[in-house]
Formats: sequence, C-alpha cells, structure tokens
Amino acid sequence: MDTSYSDIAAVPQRPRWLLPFGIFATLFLIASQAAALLMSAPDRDMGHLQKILYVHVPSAWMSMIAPAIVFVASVLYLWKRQAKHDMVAAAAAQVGIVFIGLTLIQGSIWARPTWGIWWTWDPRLTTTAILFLIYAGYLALRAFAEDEDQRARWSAAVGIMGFLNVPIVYMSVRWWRTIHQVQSTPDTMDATYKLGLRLNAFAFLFILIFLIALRYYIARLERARTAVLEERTLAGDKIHV
Amino acid sequence: MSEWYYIWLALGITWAVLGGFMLMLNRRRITAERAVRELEPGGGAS
Repeated sequence: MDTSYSDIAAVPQRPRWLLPFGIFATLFLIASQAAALLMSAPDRDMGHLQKILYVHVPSAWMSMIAPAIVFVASVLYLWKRQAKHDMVAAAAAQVGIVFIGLTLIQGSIWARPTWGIWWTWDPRLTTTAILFLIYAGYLALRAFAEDEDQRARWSAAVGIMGFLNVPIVYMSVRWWRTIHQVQSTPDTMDATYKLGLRLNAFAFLFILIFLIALRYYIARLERARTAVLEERTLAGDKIHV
Repeated sequence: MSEWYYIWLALGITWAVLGGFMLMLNRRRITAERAVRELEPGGGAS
C-alpha cells in the first residue's frame, strides 16, 4: 500500500498570499528604486554617488532584521522543540546571508570613489564581515549535521550566539569612530533622500519577508516528501523481512 | 572612473543578486511542488 501524505503529515499547502505578495514586493521595489533615483538631487559632497544609499542602507537594515528573525526562531525552537521554528531560522539565515553579502559588496563599491579604497579593516566593515562568516558557518553546520534534532539544536545555539554580533555591528560606528560615517537621522537628511530611503526600506523589507516565506515553504515541502519516502522505505523493509 | 560607473555597478549587482536568488528559489519551489505531487496517490510515482 502506498504511504501518502495523509498517513503522515498534511500536504504543505502554498499560502495563497505568497506569490501575489512576491509580485507586489518586486513591483514595489522597482517603483521605489526608480522614484529614489529620479527624485534625489546630487549630494553636496558625494554628488550622484549618494544614490548608492538606496540599496546599501536598506540592505544593511535587512542584514540586521534577518539575524533577529534567526535569533527569535532559534529561541523558540529550544523552548518548544518544534521543527517549524528551526525551518524559519534556517530560511532567515539563508536569506540574511544574501543581504549581508550585498551590504559588503555595495559598501566596497561605494568606498572606492569616496574613500579611495575598496576595503579597509574599519570596525563597521570588519564586524559586518564577521557577521557574514557567522551565518556562512551556520549554513555550513546545517549542511554537515546529519541528525535532524542535533542539527536543529546546534543551529539554534549558533543562531542565538551569532546574533550577539548584530548590536556590535550597529554600535561599531559610535564606539570606534573611524572612517565609516555614523548613522544618519531624519533630521540630518534632505526630505527627498528621506522619502526615497523610506520607500526602499519598505521595499527591501517586503522582499525579505517574501524570500523567507518562500524558503520556509520549500523547506516544508522537502521535509514532508522526505518523511513520506522514509515511511515507504520502512514499510518496504517490513514486507521483505 | 566616472561616478556613474560605481552607481550602476552597485545597483546592477544588487538587482542581479536579488533577482537571481528569487529565480533560484522559485525554481526550487516548482521542483519541490512537483516532487510532492508525484508522491500523492495517482501522482505517478510508486
């Protein structure tokens, strides 16, 4: 007899909002990028290079939000021991590392014409690079640990400890004032810059939510499929005994 | 190099990475959904 999903677990259903939300997030990002690029006048010091702000700063914010999601999901996993929390943490880590990587690349490109160098061991840059390595380690750990419970427990531990670096990244520009500027505030920005940045911050947030939800849904599908295949293998073994 | 070179480089890499990642996940979603359907009774897989 076939072992179907109904025997083991409910078939993971794609959330009805997922794909429409993805389309909305993509269109919102395109519109926000276009609006910010067309609206913003050249900066007094940086000229048009200021336009990199609309991808770099939102990416940097997402590089802090994604680890926060990993942290919360990891705490929930250790508390409740439910696989869904482990899968959310893994999805957020995978999406998060993309944004951390983007932040480093955009920052490096911005640094070349403004600081005259592609990279320097400035505290903000260094702590962000460490953040990247932490989540690369997190994903490597998940890839190598074979036992599901062990993988989830170890990952949760790394997810919790790894998040400790996020406040350090955020405060690094205040604690060790070197080449990277401190955070701008709404009071120190031109109104058109502010609007462009806010639009793109929401656009990146929507993209982040969509990507994590999509990755989580894929993880649920793959887990359910593995469960059915394992069950069938066991059922087959029983017949042959 | 012109400042626009760096602007388009930063924007282009951002759009390419996000777009590429989105396409990759979407492709993986389609594959995973198909694999699940094939395991359902009458889905074609034993």
